[in-house]
Amino acid sequence: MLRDAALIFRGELILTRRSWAPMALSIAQPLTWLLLFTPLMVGLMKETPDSPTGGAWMVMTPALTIYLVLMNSAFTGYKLLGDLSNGVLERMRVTPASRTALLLGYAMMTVVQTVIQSMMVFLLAWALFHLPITFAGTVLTLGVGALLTFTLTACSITLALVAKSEPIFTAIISTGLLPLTLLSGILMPITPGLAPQWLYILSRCNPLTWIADLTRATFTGNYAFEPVVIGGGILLAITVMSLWWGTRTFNREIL
Amino acid sequence: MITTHGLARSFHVDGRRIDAVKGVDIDVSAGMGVTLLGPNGAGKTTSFRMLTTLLRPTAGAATVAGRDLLTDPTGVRRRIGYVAQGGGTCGEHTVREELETQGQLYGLSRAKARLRSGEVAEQLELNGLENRLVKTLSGGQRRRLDVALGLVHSPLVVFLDEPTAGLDPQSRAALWKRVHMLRAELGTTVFVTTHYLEEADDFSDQVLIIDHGKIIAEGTPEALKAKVAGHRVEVTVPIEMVQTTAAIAARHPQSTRPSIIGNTVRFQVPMGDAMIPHMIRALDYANIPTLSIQVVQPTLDDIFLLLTGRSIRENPST
Ligand SMILES: Nc1ncnc2c1ncn2[C@@H]1O[C@H](COP(=O)(O)OP(=O)(O)OP(=O)(O)O)[C@@H](O)[C@H]1O
Ligand SMILES: [Mg+2]
Repeated sequence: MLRDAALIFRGELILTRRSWAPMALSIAQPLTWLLLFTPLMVGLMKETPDSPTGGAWMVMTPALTIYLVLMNSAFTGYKLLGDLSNGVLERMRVTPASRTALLLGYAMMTVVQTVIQSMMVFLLAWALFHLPITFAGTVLTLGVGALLTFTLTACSITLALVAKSEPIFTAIISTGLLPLTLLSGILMPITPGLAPQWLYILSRCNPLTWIADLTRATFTGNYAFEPVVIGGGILLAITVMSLWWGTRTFNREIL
Repeated sequence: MITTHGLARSFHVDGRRIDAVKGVDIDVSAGMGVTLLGPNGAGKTTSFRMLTTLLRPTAGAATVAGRDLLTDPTGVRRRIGYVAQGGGTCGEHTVREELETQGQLYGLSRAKARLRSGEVAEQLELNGLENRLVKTLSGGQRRRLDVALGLVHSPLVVFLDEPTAGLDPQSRAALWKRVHMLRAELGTTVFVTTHYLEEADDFSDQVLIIDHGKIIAEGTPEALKAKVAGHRVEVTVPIEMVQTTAAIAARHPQSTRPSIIGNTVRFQVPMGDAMIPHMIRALDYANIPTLSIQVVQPTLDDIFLLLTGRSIRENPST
C-alpha cells in the first residue's frame, strides 16, 4: 500500500518540479503573514484581557501553521477534479492499488508543501524575532500540522469526488472555509473575555479550535491535559474518520 | 475467462431511468478474441465498465479471469488491463513516466517495469517518443499510448474500448498485429469494442452484437454472416429510374427486402451470380441504362440490418 502511495506521490512530485513557480510562490506566502500581520496581533494582544499565555509571538506562530494547513488542503480537490475529467483517476481505479493508497498518494504532496512552509515560518520567527523555539516543540507541532493537513486534504479530495463538479466544489469550500477559519481562533484567539458567550461556545464546537490549542501547547512545551489529550484525541478521531470516508468514496463507483 | 449472468445496469438521470445494459449473458473462453459490436449508446462502454470493476452492476453476476467481480474486485483488477474509450493520460508526464508508473502500480519491480515499457513502446510504435510530454503527442500517438498502458503489465484479459478510434490505417493494422501476437504468444484473452465492421470481422473468434443493452446475436463472424442467407445485389441507375428499377427487382420471385438508397436499389437474393443475367435482361427490356450492378457478400452490418431493421453504419460515431 505504501509503495503504491509513493508511486502516485512520485508522479505528483514530477509535476511540481516541472512547474515549480506556483509552489515557490506558495512557500513565500506565509512569510507575508508572519511579517505583515503577526506584529499587529502582538501589539493588539498586549491590550487584550485574558489572552492565551506564553507571549503573543508564541501564540501566533503555531497558529500560522494551522492557517497554512487550511489554505493548502482546502483546494487540493481541484487537482482531483482535473484527473477525474481526463480519465487518469479512472485508470488508477482499475489498477490493483489499494484505495487508501490512492488517497494517501494524492494527499502527500500537500502535506509536504505544508511542512516546508511551516518550517520556514518557524525558522524565520526564530531568526528574526528570537522566539524561544525548542527542537521537540517544532517537531511535534510539525507532526500535528502534517496529520491535520492529511486529514483535511483527504476531506477536500473526497468532497471533490462527491461534488464531481468544479462550481459545486468551489461553492462548498468557499462557504465553509471562512467560518471554519474564523471560529478556530487562529487569526484572532477567541477567549471568554473577548468574545460573546455564544461565539465562544461555537468556537469550542469547532474541532480546529482544539487542534489549534494543541499546536500552541506542543510549540511552547506546555503539555497540559486539556489541549494535549483532548486536542490530540480529536485530531486522531477526525483523521480516522476522513480516512474511512475517503477510502469508502474511492471504493464506490464514480460516474 | 469471462462469464456473466444477467449482468444489468441502469442509470438515473433527471428522475428518469436509463436501462443501459439489460441482462447480458456472456461466455468467453481463455485466449479468445471477442468483439462487442453495436451502435452508439448500445451499452458497450457500460458493459466494459462493469466488467472492469468501475461500475457496480444493478443486477447479475460475473467472473472475470477466474475471480468474482463482486466479491473480489482487487483480484479482477490484478489480472486485467483496460483501455477506456476516452483514454486516461496526464499531459504533463512523459510517455516513459506514464508507462513505468503504470507497470509498477501493477506490482512490477522498477527494472521489470522499465523493461516492459520499452517493449510495449516498441510494439505500439512509440519508440523515440519516450521522453516526450504526453501533451505534445498527436491524437493517434496518444491513443497508442493508452493501449500500451493497458498492456504494460501483460494482463490475462485485456478490455479495449474502441482502441482504433482516431488511428490511421497503418497504425490500425499495427495495433491489430500486436493484438494477434499477444494472443498467439501469451494466450491473452482480448475483448474489444469497435465501430469498424471489417476489424470485427478480421479479428474476432466471436462477435457479440449488442443493441439497446441486449445481446441480440452472437457467434463466429462466418456463422453470423451465414444467417443472412444469400447475397445482396446493388443496382445503380439514373436517379429518375430508380423507382422503376425497384419495381423490376421486386418482381423477381427470389428477391427479398428491397430498399432504395440514393440512386441505388438494393435487394437480397439466395444466389447473386445467377441473378445478374436475369436482372440485366429485365433492365434492358425496360430501356434502363444501368450504371453498375454488383453482388455484395454479406457483412456484419447486414446481420444488424436483418435483426433490427437499422444499419450500424447509419449512426456514424459521435
Ligand atoms: N454515467 C452515466 N449516466 C447516465 N447515463 C449513462 C451513463 N453512462 C452511460 N449512460 C447511458 O447508457 C447508455 C449506454 O451507454 P454506453 O456508453 O454504454 O454506450 P456505448 O455502446 O459505449 O456507445 P458508444 O458507441 O457511443 O461509445 C446510453 O444511453 C448512455 O446515455
Ligand atoms: Mg462506448
